[in-house]
Amino acid sequence: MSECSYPYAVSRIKVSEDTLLDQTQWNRLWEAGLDESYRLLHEMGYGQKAKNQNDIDSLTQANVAQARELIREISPDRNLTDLMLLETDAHNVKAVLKGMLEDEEVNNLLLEGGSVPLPVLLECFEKDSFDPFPEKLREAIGKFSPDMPPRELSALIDDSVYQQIDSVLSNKKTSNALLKRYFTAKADFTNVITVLRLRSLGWEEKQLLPLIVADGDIPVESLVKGLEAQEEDLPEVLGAGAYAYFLKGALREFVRDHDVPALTARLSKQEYLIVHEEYTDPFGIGPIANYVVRKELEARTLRILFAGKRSGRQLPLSELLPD
Amino acid sequence: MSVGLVYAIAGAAIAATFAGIGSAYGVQVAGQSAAGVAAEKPELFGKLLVLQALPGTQGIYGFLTAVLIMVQIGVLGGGAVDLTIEQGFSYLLAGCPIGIVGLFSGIYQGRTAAAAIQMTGKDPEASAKGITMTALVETYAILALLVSILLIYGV
Repeated sequence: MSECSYPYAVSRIKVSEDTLLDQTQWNRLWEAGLDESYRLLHEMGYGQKAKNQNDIDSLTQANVAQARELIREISPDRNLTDLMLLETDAHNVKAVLKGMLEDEEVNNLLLEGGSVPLPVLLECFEKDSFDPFPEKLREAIGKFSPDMPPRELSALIDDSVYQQIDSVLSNKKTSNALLKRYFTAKADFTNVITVLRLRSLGWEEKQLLPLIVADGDIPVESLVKGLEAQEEDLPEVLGAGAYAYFLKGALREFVRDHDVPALTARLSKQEYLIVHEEYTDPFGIGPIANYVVRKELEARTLRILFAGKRSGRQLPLSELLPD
Repeated sequence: MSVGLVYAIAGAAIAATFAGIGSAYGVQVAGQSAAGVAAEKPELFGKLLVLQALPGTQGIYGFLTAVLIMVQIGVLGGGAVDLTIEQGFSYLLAGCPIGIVGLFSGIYQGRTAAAAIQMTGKDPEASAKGITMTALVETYAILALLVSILLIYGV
């Protein structure tokens, strides 16, 4: 079924929210040891379709893929819901193209849950015909050449994802204010993290520019300035856009702690809070977007939790969960 | 057939048509929502059916009002009353409250029912609360029905 109504789709989502981990389940997972945690996840029915039931990456990928499959199945508006699935498409396209560059088999790296189902995606590459792909992604695949450096290929595909998002959300007929806010913030946060990573590598403007995602509110000049600025000036230089106040606070903490993973987690939580704003709308994209982002955040939190268990340094649950 | 009678028939038509449209929309949107919940939790069908049926009442009120007008003007028995323009226009106006309020309350009640169905899907124990919330929208349709009936008998 490709064109369901919003009431139908939101109802399916509301019932499916039962599969999200609740506070009690998080508490049990946090208190349990590593092996016990895997057992608990089995009990909770988390990631049942995972290929490897004792690998947290496999479990979380399977769980998120299941959520994305549901969104594709019940989509009331493919233009909008496909935007939530583009990241998976981009991952799959990059994997296949990099596999072609390095002449390697990559089928085991491909993820279910994109806007283009995996069998269709593989068939497209076999036939060299990419009609089922979103327009901008299709154009990016067309620009691929076998002598392209992998980093340039990644930037090309990532850029096409944001171009696709921009082309859908700039169109009056398909625009959506909530998704516009969400993706603009996501682009800003991605750019800020990129700047911080490149600063630590000592990279320069010419290396930053191809990596900048175009759809953010933070001006490119500020991002470039962020590469060279004194560390204590980062909140002022990079704290711009619709979420400037939040970004300044997060960057002040970063300046104090120098903890990029903690900053990334904080930004992810903020992205979730943005889509959560319209969580109660029974006739809109809000609950659907909230569900996907919540599932992704849940997966990320589980990976951090399990990494903490492996290393013996577990973060408090209050820092891991968004609410 | 007199012009007054035509006006009165228009009043009956307005009552039945607009309230019916409101109910049809309300039941449809609640039905879509119920289908979504039933696809995941078929055991809730009974509770969902009650919520889906609630926006259907406006159509019944509209139908009832239309029948009352038709009885009053004698078109059901085959001997239509000869009405003046003023009398006919009064019947037309009498059909308006339930026609108009039925249209909008049917739509809004359907939307409330859809939200209540989603709430029931998430927490089946909350279905009684959902029914209460949805039924509150009904109040205004009932008031409009009363006004229509009082007006019909006041002509």
